[in-house]
Amino acid sequence: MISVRIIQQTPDDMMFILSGTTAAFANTLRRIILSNVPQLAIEDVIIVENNSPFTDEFLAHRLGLIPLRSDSDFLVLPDECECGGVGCSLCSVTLTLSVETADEGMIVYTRDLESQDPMTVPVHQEIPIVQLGPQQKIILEAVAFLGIGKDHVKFQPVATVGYQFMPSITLDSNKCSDCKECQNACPRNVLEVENKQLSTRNILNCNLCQLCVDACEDDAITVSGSEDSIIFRVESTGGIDTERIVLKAAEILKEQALEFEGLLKELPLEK
Amino acid sequence: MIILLIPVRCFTCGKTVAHVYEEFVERIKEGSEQEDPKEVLDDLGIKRICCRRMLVTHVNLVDDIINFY
Amino acid sequence: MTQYRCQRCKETVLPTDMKIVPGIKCPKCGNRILFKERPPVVRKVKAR
Repeated sequence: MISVRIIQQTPDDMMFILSGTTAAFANTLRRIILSNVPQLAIEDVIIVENNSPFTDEFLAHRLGLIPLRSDSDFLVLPDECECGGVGCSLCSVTLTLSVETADEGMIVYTRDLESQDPMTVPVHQEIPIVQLGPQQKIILEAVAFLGIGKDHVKFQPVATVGYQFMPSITLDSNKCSDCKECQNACPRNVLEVENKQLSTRNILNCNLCQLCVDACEDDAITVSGSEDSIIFRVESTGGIDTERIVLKAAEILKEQALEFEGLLKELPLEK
Repeated sequence: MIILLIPVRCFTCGKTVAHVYEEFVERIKEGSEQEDPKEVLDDLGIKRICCRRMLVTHVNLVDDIINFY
Repeated sequence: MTQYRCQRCKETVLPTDMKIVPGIKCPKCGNRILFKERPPVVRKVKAR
């Protein structure tokens, strides 16, 4: 039986413990989050005017990397849309940018982007897009689509996702000679030694580096990863909340498994 | 290639870093309220070394180049 | 059509005008620095 215990959860960061499964399952979840969960990003940029020192491609590339916040329930992937991926109001959101400088230059920020849909806005308002000198002008229209990480990193909903085995540290205080070498060796401050008594604090910080084991000359410590308990960490770019990312990944995994099952049933299998 | 403006995202992990750049520069500037860059980065939530180097090593060349356009 | 602008007299220079004088030169003032103007076309760029 798989069980999940959430340790920490904010819209940007999430950490939970998966137990009763293997690393294979955690890796499936990780790979689906990285490559199959849809996220909104600017794909096409229509440049009407640009006499800034930056090229059109540079501008477009920077715009593409800006994370956008949106309720993707209302949007569909362009491939699945009725319009066939051309870009209608069901599958795309248009943002416009028009800035002009007079005698003084300025920095153009993401807050200057005007969205057609007030629900879809850049996550961060103060990302510098370009810097303009005096008497320069930029007018452009950016069309954002949903996409998946397999296609381009800008569609990845997360900055990092990762998992590690749950550390299991066995301590033998009887062998300890109170040298405190292990405590000094640990880069994450997990171990504590006091009057020949070994103890651990915030064990989740341990990264199984074995430095304490090497430092201990009395063989009082062993560190290993317990294989059926996995610490899973998700860090969102802000476009979708971490909780929804994981839920969506589970949904996609289920869909793919059902599709595979359907395909298997159609095959003329030998009995 | 010369990087003129601060990159929007970290090259390695993809975390957005550009939105904190100006605050970072402002807070580590020499003066009476100068702070330790290490603490400023921790405070801004830039935890990994890959994202930290994006901010620490960046030289904003636009300010020099903009005069020639 | 490609258009140029003279750096000194800010005059628009067409490629046909340049044939009047030998070499690359502004036909109005003789200045040899010309800027190529951005064509008034809407461009569509992929954000990749």
